[in-house]
Amino acid sequence: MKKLILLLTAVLLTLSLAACGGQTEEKNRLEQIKQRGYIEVVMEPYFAPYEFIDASKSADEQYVGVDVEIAKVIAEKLGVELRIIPLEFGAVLAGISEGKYDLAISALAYTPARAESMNMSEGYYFGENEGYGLLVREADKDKYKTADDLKDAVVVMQSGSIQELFVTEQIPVAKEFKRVSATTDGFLMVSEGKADVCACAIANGRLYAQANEGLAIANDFTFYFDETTQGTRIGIPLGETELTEFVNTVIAELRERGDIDKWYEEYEDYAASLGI
Amino acid sequence: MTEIIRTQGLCKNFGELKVLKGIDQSIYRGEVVSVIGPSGGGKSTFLRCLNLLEIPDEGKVFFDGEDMTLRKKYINRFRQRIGMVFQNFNVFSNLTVLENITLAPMLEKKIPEARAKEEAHALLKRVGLSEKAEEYPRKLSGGQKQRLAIVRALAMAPEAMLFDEPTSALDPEMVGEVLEVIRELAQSGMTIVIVTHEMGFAREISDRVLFMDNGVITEEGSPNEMFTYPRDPRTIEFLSKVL
Amino acid sequence: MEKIIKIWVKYYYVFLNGLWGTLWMAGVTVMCGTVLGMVIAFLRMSRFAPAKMLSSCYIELLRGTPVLLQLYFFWLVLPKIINMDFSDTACVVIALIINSSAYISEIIRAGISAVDTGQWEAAKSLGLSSFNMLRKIIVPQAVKNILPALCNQFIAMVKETSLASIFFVGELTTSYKSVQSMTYLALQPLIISGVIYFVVTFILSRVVSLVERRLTVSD
Repeated sequence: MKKLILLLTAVLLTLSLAACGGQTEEKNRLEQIKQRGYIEVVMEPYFAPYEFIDASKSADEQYVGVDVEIAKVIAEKLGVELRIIPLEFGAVLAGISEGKYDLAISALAYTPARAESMNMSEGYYFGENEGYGLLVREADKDKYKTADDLKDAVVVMQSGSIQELFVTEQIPVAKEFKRVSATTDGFLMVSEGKADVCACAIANGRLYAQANEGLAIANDFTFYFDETTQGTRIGIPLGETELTEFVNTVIAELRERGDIDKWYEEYEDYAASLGI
Repeated sequence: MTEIIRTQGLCKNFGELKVLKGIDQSIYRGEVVSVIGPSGGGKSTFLRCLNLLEIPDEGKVFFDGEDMTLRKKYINRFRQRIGMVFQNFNVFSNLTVLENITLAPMLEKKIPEARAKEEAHALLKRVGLSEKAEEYPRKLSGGQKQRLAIVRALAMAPEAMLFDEPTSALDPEMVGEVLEVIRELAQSGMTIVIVTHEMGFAREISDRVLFMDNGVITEEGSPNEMFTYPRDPRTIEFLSKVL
Repeated sequence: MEKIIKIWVKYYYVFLNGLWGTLWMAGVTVMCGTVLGMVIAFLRMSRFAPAKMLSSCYIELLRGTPVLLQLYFFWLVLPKIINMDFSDTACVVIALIINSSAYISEIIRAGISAVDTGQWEAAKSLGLSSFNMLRKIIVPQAVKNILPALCNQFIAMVKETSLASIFFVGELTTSYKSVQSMTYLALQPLIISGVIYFVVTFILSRVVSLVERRLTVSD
């Protein structure tokens, strides 16, 4: 037993040494980006209208949405090429907290845990403020009004998302809590009866409910939303102050011109046109 | 008579088990030597040490005056001069009958393909397998496979032949055809060491018979001495059981 | 059903591109994994103790940890070690190659050990050099044992690559998720990609059993 533990320790030590090797960063990331001539932006392109896929287009062109527009502006202002790296949400978060990529523009909401593992920009979209709610089966549309009504429901949410935070904070008791890697999987679980409600961004959930019969957004339920932590943000590797400041100036400019709200409406229509 | 193979203090262990316990023995050119004795007595191991398929733990094996155990680098050269035939035939299943024979001469002796084939055909004719030249071994009977194995070894023009119970895995009706080939070979003057349970055959073809039991050669002599007037009680007991 | 047909009509090319990506990736993985696997198998069977131990560790480590974990590990760590800019696809493919090399080396080892010892002994008794013995006798016979297992590894890989969809490497499961996100329909794209996976692996396994029968005939 002792030998086994020793062996395990040795293996872990070697691996972690390997993992930490080669991290020589003399310059800050903003300078590095300018020097290498491209910026790598990660996103999970399953979240219209922020970022989604138009498969009829080729290569990098197929990633479209509000966040893609923002990424384009940031790259343009830096005078560098934009490289979009599509990843699943968990990998998006890991990719930034590990500093593997430059920016995460993936409709990230603020959570305290996230703010500890990465720098977060100012909020760039506050929306028509539909906020976050529940996707349910059509028949249950009026069933859930308060957190109390959920005590016999199976609640599903995307792991690592802000919805998860809302659920843990605001729904103390449920029959069962389930986590999935993509919100669409949660929607599917509700429509297949594997879960009763799926915590989601209301705008996103409505698009899904429109395409699938028998689903709806719960009429009278929204999650409580702290004003100070509102808004969708951009994730930046921890400690990259210069890059964070740069991103914030771009956000401020875009918000002033009203570009982001305009894009949001445009891409909502665009996303709807892709359905069948 | 010149000596061709000589062993000196040959020992072989399989784990705790001592299979050979110091064997000193000489085989002379043109001699036919049979090795008989009870199962597990070390006969096959002794034979397999003669071309170093088993590496002895102690002792030496001389071939044509040279100590093979000292010259492991050249072991293939020695093996090319010693043919071997196995109990389970071990013909190459991925090659045709003809290829089985020509492979080693062409690769190791650099004999041109045409000549190797010509010689192979002659050998096949000698053992009555001419029609099977292009077949794969799976279509051959046990007896045919063993005859093929014998000519495969002969194609290398060896100076001595080792037979390890060549008829033990055969159906009774096929034993005769294989023994016939070995008999002819013995009559042609080939040096032969054969481990066998065919006592009648051993008596008929041998110049000398070795009786092996428990890792040592306990008695040796001419076939007549061994089969008619055995002296050692172990030989007497063994022969009384098998004859 | 109606929706499935509609999705297929509109987005069939997404699925077909994904299928191509899956087959390509499984193919490259198995081929490179075979080359690497041969080296590992060779080390494992060598008489040199450290090589033996190292290759055993390699195999045990890769077989004893989940593929998903290995994917993440190589994705995060590989570019840092080698200090080169690997694309995500490259990281994923390398991880899959290394993973399958462990399994394939065991397939190769088993295939070689399955060759009857009598064949080795006969070749040695004729005085064949080790090189000629391996080339003419052992390897041709081992290949017959190995080839069907290797094809099965390919089929397994076709399914295994779906794990790589986390990193958007353009295989069939990525296609499924893309179509799902475009149409806001979850079940129908799932059925389509499931059918494609099944048809492809079914055809492949038929081919394997055909090859297998061929090989045993010429034995």
